[in-house]
Amino acid sequence: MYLLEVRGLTKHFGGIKAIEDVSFRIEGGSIASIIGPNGAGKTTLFNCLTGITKPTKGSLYLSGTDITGIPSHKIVGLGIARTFQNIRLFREMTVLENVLISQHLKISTGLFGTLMKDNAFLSKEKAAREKALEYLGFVGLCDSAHVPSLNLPYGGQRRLEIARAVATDPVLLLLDEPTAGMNPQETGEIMEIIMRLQKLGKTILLIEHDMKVVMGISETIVVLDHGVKIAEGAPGAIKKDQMVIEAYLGRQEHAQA
Amino acid sequence: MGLNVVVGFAGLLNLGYVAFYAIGAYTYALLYAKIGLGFWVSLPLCIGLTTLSGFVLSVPALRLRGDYLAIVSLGFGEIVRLILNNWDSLTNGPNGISGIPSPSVLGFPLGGLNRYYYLILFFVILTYGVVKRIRSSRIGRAWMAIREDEICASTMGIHTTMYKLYALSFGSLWAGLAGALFAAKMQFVSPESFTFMESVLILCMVILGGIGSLPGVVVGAFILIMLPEVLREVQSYRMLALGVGLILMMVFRPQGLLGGPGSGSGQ
Repeated sequence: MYLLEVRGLTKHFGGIKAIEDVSFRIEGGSIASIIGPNGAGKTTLFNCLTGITKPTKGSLYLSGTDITGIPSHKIVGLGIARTFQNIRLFREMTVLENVLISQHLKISTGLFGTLMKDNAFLSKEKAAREKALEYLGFVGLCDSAHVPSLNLPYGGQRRLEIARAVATDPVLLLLDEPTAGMNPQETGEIMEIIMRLQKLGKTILLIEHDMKVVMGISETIVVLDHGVKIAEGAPGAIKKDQMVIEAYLGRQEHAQA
Repeated sequence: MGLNVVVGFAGLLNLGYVAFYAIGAYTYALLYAKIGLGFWVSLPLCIGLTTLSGFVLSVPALRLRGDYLAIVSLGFGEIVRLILNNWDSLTNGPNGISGIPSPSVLGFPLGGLNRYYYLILFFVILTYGVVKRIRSSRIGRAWMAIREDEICASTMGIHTTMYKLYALSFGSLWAGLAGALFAAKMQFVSPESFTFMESVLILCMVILGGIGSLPGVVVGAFILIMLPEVLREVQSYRMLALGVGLILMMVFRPQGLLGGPGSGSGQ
């Protein structure tokens, strides 16, 4: 059984066909990438997967369960977490608080316990804090736990977004351009984090423009162009695919291809 | 304090807060006038009814966001005031209801202002404690997350509509409490006490002290109540001074006197 299965996914915004009949499958434990020129429908695909927008047609399956049209706050509980292309942190809150929020579903304290500050409440809060610090350690942000998140440098904010998504304990992690605007060294750090996540058993689906990252770590690549899937396969095959070269690599990344 | 939850934590601009205050005050007044219920019996009823009305208003209003919610809540405030003003048979119209008794504790009447002060102080501390604890729990964090970024909050597993509903109901709860206390203190309620200006004044307290900051609200309320007394000498310039003060603060300290990052300086 595949971890994620997208069947005939279609999303129209009025007359604009953002995604048209896209199907693909991802195996559990793998790293897959979605690439394509701007406006190809990559982020819309993520929005459909996380329940932010409802698909016009088609269905989505997570480990065989139909998750089409389930609202976003429930999708998280089923095991899909994401980061955003344009960083969306809870800016006024501290780094630690950001990660605490994503454990929302896992801390269950009643109103009464909260008001009384009983032992159950305190121990759950403490456990959540320790867990949060662990996730921060994972992306190397332990030292800035009590800094307001808007004061983090750009690369740190990206890493915090990843930590926050991982803290929901997902099976499938969707990363929307995690290395956008980064220098080669920072990009390397992100790639290393992604590979460590894979070792932890997470399945990762990336949207990425940096071909070094895409070709370097993904096992499968899905290529979208104008909302249509034009190719799917291993990096080696994608590099040679004539349609892909014409649509995308040929224009922008010829030297690397 | 309650409004601070709504505006400061969850980022929902509520301009009709006084309506809930009025509902609390009138509930107490009417429960006494019509069926003769005492303070301690009616207090939970006041709070319950106000919370319920907050909940009922929220259900349709939460389909709106930002400015639109502000306008609906403003409208709600005016509607409540107009109903109080015109429903003569129940509320005695613009004349209000007088002769509301003061509460007593363990047989001691709390008639004098001095004694009453301690009762109010008790409730302020209670409110402060409860709000502070909720703020540092998952509920408070969820509210702040919604204020910061609603879409993102929902991808963290927060049921955003539910939590906004909680925030509005929870905020109204305290307004109901304050309303009942107000009625008991003044021993008289009339629609005049619950005008739009009163909502604005409460919002000013929150803004002045620092949105989302608990000590800030206390300081803000203190300043805004004391200021007119201090400036009594130059009476005609009081509101002017207040206005200038608020503008200066917006320019030099937009996060409020005691607000800051983390406590959340709002939108």
